[in-house]
Amino acid sequence: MQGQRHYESGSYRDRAGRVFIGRAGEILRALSPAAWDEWQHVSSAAFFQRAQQSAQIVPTWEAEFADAPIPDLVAGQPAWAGVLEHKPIPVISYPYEWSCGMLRDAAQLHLELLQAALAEGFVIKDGTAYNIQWVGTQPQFIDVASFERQIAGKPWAGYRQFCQTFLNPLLLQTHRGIPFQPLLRGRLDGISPRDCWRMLGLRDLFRRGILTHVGLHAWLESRPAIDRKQTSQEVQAAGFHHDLIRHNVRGLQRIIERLVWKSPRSHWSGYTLDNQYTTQDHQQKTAFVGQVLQSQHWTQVWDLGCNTGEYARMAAEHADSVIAMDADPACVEMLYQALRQSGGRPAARILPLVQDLADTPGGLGWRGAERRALPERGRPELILCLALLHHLVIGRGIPLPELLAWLAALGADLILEFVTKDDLMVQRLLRGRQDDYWDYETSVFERLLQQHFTVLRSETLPLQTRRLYLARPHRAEQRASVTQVVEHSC
Amino acid sequence: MLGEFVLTPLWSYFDPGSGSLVLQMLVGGSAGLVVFGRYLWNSLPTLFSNRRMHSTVASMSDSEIPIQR
Repeated sequence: MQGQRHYESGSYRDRAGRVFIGRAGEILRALSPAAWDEWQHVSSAAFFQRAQQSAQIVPTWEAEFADAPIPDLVAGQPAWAGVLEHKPIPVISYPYEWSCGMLRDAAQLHLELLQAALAEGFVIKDGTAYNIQWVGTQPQFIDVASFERQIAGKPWAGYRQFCQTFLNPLLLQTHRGIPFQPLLRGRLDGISPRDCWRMLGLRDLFRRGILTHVGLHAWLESRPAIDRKQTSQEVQAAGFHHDLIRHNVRGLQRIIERLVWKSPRSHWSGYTLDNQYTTQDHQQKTAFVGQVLQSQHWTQVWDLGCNTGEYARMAAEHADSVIAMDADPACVEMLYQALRQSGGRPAARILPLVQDLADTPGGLGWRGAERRALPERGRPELILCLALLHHLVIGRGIPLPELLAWLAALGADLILEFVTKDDLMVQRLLRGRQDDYWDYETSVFERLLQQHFTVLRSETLPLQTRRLYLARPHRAEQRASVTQVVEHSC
Repeated sequence: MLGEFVLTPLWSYFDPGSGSLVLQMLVGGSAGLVVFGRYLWNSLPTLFSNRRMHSTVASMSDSEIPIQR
């Protein structure tokens, strides 16, 4: 495969452009002659320049076309007219990894940009949530090829995508309490109006936007023998104009503004109030983690099982980016809102993500490569895995040898907290289960840890049931087994 | 159920995005309703011809439906 270049697998949906990686790892986007022409207009528009300055749109500039290592689509058949370069995103994430507030803020950014574009005679032809990425807690629109000049009388082509990937998931989460993450993960195109309609209840009919954007939408979609081109021509002939899109966008903005998820107090969101740590334990743990973090500046830190994000915040003081992951959407939502409120540069470097390590999404879409697993999208230099192993091994049945091998394969230094079976929290987990977790013993754990890592430092907390380790994987090249591709979806 | 089964090969070409285009008139405020009224008026002949096509296909037996690829 060496020497061969490929387009990013997630960028095939827009035929007017493809994303690929340059020789020095640059994120490049090849554009068709028509898309290049659009770019010339869009890039000089005031709204676009404003949005770039405020980082609402990923910083983008023209790259040298002749030097770009553009992969062939069809040998000998040139398809592209120009190449753009984007500032890389620390970690590509997908809407099924976001919390409700994140999806809502991403939707608002999309509508704000669309409204600004419409005011200057442009439109965003897509409406998919996959066009938004995150730099910490700041959403950023990445698919600049989506902007084009508005053709008079043409409706917004991305409206259906917007409903499927933004509006419907938010409606189900906020009105019905149905988590949207598994639904979006199950169908990358999003939740169709028909499916959404079937999941809504009677009282939802009276809520703003449900009857039109979902009910009527589902009914119109189900009408047979409608041809899009013919319909589009008929709609134009009837006198459709862009003020109707602006009215629709304003309406969507008003609906989405009210879609605030009142997350229930989950087991995890209340975890910090309900644990076994004494003040002394907490102080020693914080000092241990703090000393490791201060020892150098880290490019990327992953906090697995971040909970309230206490340690992710500490890490952000010493890292370019921190990915704070938790399986509980309520926890991630709380952390995201707290980070947005607290402001400040360190907090803005933290990207909270919904990630269940026992059920990580990956290999989705076309060829199973369109939406990749997290280890293929990011490169941690340090991993925090504090009081998490017992939940995965005892709570979810993951074999400890496999778990430690997976952590080692990430190729990063590891701060790990092992909680013994004598700990009250582990006792709680074991209650009602047959204790056949032979691998979850301190002696077995330490032997396994030493198989994959060199233990640089370890400390037992005063509680005596919790032990902290700083470990470095034996072979940094273990990381090579995990493909490192920074991808740009569009 | 039979109808749904028989019609599936044809509807795989059906584009659900068309409904979204029509809906954008209805969510476009009062001006949109005017445009929608004009659209309905203009497309009355098409609606009738579509209905005829629909009923013709639904009444066909399985072997009579042309294979579309």
